[in-house]
Amino acid sequence: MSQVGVSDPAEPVLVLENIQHAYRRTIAVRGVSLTVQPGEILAVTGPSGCGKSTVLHVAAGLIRPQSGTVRLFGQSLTGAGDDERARLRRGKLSLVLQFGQLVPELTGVDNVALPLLLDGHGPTQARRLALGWLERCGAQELADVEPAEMSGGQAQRVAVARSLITSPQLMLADEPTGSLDSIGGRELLDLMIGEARRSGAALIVVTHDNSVAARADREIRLFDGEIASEAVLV
Amino acid sequence: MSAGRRAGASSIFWRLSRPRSAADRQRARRMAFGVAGSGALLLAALAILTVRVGTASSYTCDESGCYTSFGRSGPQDGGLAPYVVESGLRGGTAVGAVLLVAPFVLLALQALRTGTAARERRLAALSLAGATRRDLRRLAFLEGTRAAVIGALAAGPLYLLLWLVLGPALPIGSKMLPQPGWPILIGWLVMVAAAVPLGGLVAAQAARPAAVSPLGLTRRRQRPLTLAHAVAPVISAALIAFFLRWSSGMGQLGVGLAAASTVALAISVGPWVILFTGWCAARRRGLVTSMAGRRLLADVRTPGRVVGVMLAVGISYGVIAALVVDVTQGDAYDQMFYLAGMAGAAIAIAVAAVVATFSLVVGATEQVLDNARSTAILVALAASPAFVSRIVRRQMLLAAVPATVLGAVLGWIVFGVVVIGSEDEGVGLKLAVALLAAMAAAALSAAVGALVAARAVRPAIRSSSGPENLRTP
Ligand SMILES: Nc1ncnc2c1ncn2[C@@H]1O[C@H](COP(=O)(O)OP(=O)(O)OP(=O)(O)O)[C@@H](O)[C@H]1O
Ligand SMILES: [Mg+2]
Repeated sequence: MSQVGVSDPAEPVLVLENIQHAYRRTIAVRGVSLTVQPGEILAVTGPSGCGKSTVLHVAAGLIRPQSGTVRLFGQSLTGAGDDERARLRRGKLSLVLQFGQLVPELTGVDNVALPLLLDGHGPTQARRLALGWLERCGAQELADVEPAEMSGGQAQRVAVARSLITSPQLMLADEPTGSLDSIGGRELLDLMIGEARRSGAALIVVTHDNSVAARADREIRLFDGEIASEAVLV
Repeated sequence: MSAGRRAGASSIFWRLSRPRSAADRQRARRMAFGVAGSGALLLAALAILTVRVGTASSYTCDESGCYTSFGRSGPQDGGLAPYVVESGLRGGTAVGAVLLVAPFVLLALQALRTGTAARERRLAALSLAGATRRDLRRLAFLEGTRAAVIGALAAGPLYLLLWLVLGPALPIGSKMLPQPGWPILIGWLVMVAAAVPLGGLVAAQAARPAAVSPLGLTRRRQRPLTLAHAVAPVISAALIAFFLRWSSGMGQLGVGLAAASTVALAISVGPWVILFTGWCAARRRGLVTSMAGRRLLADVRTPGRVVGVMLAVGISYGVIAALVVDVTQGDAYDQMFYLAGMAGAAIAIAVAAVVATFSLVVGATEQVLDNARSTAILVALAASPAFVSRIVRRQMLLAAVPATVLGAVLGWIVFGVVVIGSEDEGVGLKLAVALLAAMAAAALSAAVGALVAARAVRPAIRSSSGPENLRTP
C-alpha cells in the first residue's frame, strides 16, 4: 500500500472506540470499535437496520455518538464544533450518501465545485476542475443539469465526482451504487476504488452487494448494532 | 485566500439567495410585502407629523378656486381632517399608523422564520458539502437583504396608493394624508438604504438558532408550553388589576401601564386559547373538525402568537361598539366628530385583522411541509388535496374566530358595562345591540382573514401531496 498525501503512515485515518448510539427508542449501534489505516478499503455489510448508516454518520462527524470516541486523522472529534466538522467535509473527508446530497438549485458542475468554492477557490478554476471530475465519472453531460432533472443514478455520479474533487484522505460512501444498475454501479465503484488506490486514500463503503464487498481489503459485518464478524480479504 | 474565498463562495451564495421554487418565491414575496406594508405606514406617520399647517404645502385647489389655510371661510389645510391638522390629535393619529405596522412586521418575521421544504433541503445539502454556520448565516443575510430592499422599494409606490385612497379620494375636510412632499421622498430613500443592513442582520439573526443537520432531518422540534407561558398571563392580569387600582394616583402613567399589561395579557394568553380551542375541536365527531383540532394541538405556539393580535382586534371592536353607544348619548356635533374617527379606526382594525390572520399562513404552511409525507400518503390513499385544504381552512377558522369574538366580548365588558353602564341608566338595550354588532364584526373580519389565508396555503398543499414526497426521508 502506498501512502500518498498522508504525513504519518503509521497513524490510522479513523479510529472508532466503543461507539454507542441510540435514536429515541432504538439502540442503533452498541459498542462498535474500528480502526481504518491509510489506503485501506473497508466494506461494511449487514442486514437492513443493523446500524451501517449510523456507524458511517458517526465516523463522518455528522452524528455525535452518545458514548465512545471518534478519532479522525489523529484528532479527537469529541470537542469539535459544527464548523470544524464542516471544514473537514470540504477537505480531508468526503461523503457519498444514498440521496439528497446535491444542492437542488445548483447545476451539476457547481455541485461538484461546491467544496472548493466554499473553501475559497476562484470560481473559474473550481469549475474547470469540476468539469474534469465529471468527465472522469462519465457525467460530463450533466454539467449544466439541475439535480431535479437527473435520475437517481446520474445524481449519484455527480455526488461521486464531488467526493473526489478535494483529493480526500478518507472517503465514506453509503450504498453509493444503490440507485444504479449493476453495470453502472460496478463502473462507479471501480472509479472510487481506483481513485482510492491511486491517491492512497482510505475508503469505507457500506453495501448490501456481496460483489462490492469482495473487492475490498477487509469486510465488517454488522448485526443488530454490533460487529458480528470481520474478514480480511485478498 | 480570503479574497478568493469571497469570489468563489459569494457568487454561489448570491445565486442561492434568489428564491427559486414556487414556495421560496412565495416566502420572499411575503417578507417583501411585510416590509412594504410597514414602510408605507411609517411613511404615512411621517407625512402626518410633517404636515405644515398654513403653508404652501396645504395649498389646495378645486372648482371654486385655490386657497391656503389663511383663506377665511374656504376649506382649510388642504382639506385635511382635524385628526391630522390639530396639533393635539396629530400625534395620536401618527401613533395609530405606527401601531398598524405591527401586523405587517409580524407577517415579515413569520415568513422569515419559517423556511420552506426546498430551503431546508438546500441548507442541509450545503452543510453536507462543507458549509459552516457562518456560510449559512451569510446566505441568510443575503436573502434578508434582498427581500427587505425589494419591500422598501415597493413601500414608495404603496404609499402613493395609500395616499390616493386616504387623500384625493376622500372629501375635503376629512383627508387623512397630505400631498407627498420632500420628507416622504427622503424618508423613502433612507428606508431603502437602511433595508440593506437591517434586513440582512435580522435574517442572519433569525438563522442563528436554527440547527441545520447535514442529514436533512430538520424536523422542527415540538415546542411545548413552558412554565413561563403559564405564569405570564397570571402576572399580566395581576398587573392590570394593580395599575387600575392605582391609576388614580398615577394619572396617565397608570392608565398607560394598565394598557401595556393588557397587551401583555393578550399576547401571553394566546397559546392557551389555541390549546383550549384545539382540545375542544379534537374531541368532536366530525373528521375535518377533529383533524383540524389535532393539527392545532400539534403546535400551539405559532398560532398562539396570532391569537394575541386577534384578541386585541376583538377588544378594539368591543370598545368601539361601546363607545358608539356612549357617543350617541351626547350632542350632535360631537357625534359627527367622534363617529368619523371611530369608523376610520374600525376599518383600520379590520385591515389589521386580515393581515394578522394572514400570518397564520406561515405556520400552517410549515406544518403542511413538515408533514409532506403524511399529506402525500393521505392523498395517495384516498383523500383529495381539496380535503386537506378543508382541514387547513377549518384549522385557521378555529385559530382566528374564537379569539377575536372573545376579545370583542372582553372589550365590551370593560368599556360597555364597567365604564358606561355604571354611569348611564337605560342604555341596556343599546349596549346589547353593540355587543352583537361587535361580535359580528369581529367574527366576520377574522373569518375573512382565515379564508383568505387558507387559500394562500393551497400551493403548499398541492406541492406536498405529490408522489415525490413519498420517498423523502
Ligand atoms: N433518524 C432516525 N430516527 C430514529 N431511528 C433511526 C433513525 N435512523 C436510523 N434509525 C434506526 O436505527 C437503526 C439503524 O439504522 P441504520 O440506518 O443505521 O441502519 P442501516 O444498517 O443503514 O439500514 P439500511 O441497510 O436499511 O440502510 C434502525 O433500527 C433504524 O430504525
Ligand atoms: Mg443505511
